[in-house]
Amino acid sequence: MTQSQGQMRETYPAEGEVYRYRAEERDGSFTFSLEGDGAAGLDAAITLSIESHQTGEGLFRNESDQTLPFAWAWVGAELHLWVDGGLFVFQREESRRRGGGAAAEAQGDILAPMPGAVLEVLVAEGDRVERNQTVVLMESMKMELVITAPRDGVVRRVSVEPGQQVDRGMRLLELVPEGDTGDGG
Amino acid sequence: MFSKVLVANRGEIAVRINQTLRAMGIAPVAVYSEADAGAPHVTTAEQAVSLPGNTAEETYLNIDRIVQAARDCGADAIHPGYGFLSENPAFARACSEAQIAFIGPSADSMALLGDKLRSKEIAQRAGVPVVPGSAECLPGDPAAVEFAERWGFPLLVKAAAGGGGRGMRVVSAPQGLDADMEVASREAQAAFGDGRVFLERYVSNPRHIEIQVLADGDGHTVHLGERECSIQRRHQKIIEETPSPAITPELRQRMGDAAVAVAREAGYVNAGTVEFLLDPRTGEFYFLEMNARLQVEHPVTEAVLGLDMVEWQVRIAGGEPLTLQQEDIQPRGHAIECRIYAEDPYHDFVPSTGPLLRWRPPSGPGLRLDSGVEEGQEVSIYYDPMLAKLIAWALDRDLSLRRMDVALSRFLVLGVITNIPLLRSIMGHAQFQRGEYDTGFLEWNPAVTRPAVTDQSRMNARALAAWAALQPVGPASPTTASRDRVRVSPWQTAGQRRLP
Repeated sequence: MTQSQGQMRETYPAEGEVYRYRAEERDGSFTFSLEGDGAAGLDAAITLSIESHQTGEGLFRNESDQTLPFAWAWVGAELHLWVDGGLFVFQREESRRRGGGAAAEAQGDILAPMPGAVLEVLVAEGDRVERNQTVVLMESMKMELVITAPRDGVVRRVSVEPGQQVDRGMRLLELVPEGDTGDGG
Repeated sequence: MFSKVLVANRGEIAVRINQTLRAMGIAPVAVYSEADAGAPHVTTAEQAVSLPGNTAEETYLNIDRIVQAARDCGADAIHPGYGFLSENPAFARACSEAQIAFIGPSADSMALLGDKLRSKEIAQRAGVPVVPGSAECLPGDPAAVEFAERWGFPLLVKAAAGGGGRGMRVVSAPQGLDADMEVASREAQAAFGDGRVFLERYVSNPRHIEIQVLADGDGHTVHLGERECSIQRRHQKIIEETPSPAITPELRQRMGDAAVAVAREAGYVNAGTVEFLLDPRTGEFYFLEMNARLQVEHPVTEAVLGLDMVEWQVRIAGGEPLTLQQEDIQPRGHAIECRIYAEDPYHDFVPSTGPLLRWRPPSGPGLRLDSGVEEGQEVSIYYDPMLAKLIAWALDRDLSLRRMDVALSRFLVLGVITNIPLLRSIMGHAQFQRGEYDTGFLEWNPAVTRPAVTDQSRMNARALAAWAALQPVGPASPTTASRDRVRVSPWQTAGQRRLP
């Protein structure tokens, strides 16, 4: 019998719920105790028998004795899991980068929502912008995407220029509340 | 008949055209961008010509280079597929100047119909009702303001050269009008090289019904029944079916006659599609536009009629007569198509890019997959995010919907996010199952665009993720969980490899 435990974060389709697990293996059957920060219904223990003969693919039998296929792959630090006809994405909680994603955005970064090319930057450093004002135009897969300011503020830094290719999550510009420009001016 | 045809496209449609050409004993020639080296549309062709660069403008929209490629390889004809240059009259003209047949309508009727303003005039001349619209106008034009005042909001900004939902915007209030006209104009300029826009009355919640027509060089024109394409996101179709649950035999005949009348009025030759808006409450229909090309959703028509639309396109372009008579065209059963997009249905359909680490499409009775990708391929930012089309056919609608749902549930994709869960939610939706839907379906059913994961399923996923995270990453190694059952995937051993 082997035991292990850890912490994971579900990032898709949920948007970042952390859960702790304890797994116990006995003859190919795994009993998982799950404890999350989400719905109480998800705090439970379940037993699945899992088999896999090839990295990335397997079958599992659940408690109602149904056998279902599943598959997984690592995409960078993300674990993509296909099960029950749907996709889930997880991260090991300990490996999660600090200060990324929502945290950075809360600090005032406007991030690229998808990979693509910057068509136009409609504001300059020091500009005052209003909520919903268009600040950047992007193009990805032939669709034009209008990036708007999430709130009122002042542009502290413009991080991209027209024609530049950007990855998803890359900072386009930094927006700070008015009076907080950091330059005392 | 032609002996060599260059397919000026990529992805699933180029693969699909290659297949028909080969079946007809014609050698298909592919063109490809740098990012598409080794893609299925290249490996399924007999010959391939590289187009330097990656952007659409440098490659699949590059008329000079494509015509030159056709000349260099000695192609008799060019098939444009859909999108890209398929409705560009300058391309059709460049082909004929180079003595290369264009598989599609003439440059003139393409120019006429590709212009949404002029095509509406044709429909009116053919006695077919059209949606009220303005003439071409610029942001801030008095004509635009006047039209907006007369019909009110919401209204539609459309690009005269638009298509596939690009260059189209719904404007809900006067203050957004100028900005939306500018965005639509820019989008159309980028996509079609023509930024002209006009305004149209916004018909709320119509059903989108289109009629397929085929016409030969002698003017013999038939229609191949309707396709319902009302399930759309961002004005782009994602699910299509035929027959439409909204169409009675009487209505089918009236719309079919109207479509044939428009095609005749336009002097149309080859395969085309006349799009209508149908008001389900009154049974009234309005001409929307005529698409002078093969449609993405043509396979559902093929499924119920048992014919090959591309074969007819090629034969008509080669000067053969259309031997189908209207009374011979009798659909059998029901077919539905789902477009598989690399996009996140839960976050505004943002495109998803990355390597296709797993791509295992389903197969089975009544299923067809038109795919432009294969496992291991990179889904890039350069082109449309549609990966494939899955088509299910059965003797009746209930059964084809069930076949589709089962097939979607077995469609394994890893590496990019897809819209498959959304498609499944729609298949399982009671209103959709009853056939009671219109173009506002996603809007009226926002729950469909939210994750529909049961607690049980999420718990299983979390447990499996915890388990998978404990597995070694690297070459295949049986785990301690091995039991008596051995599973060898035939895809793994017989899978195609990407060519250098």
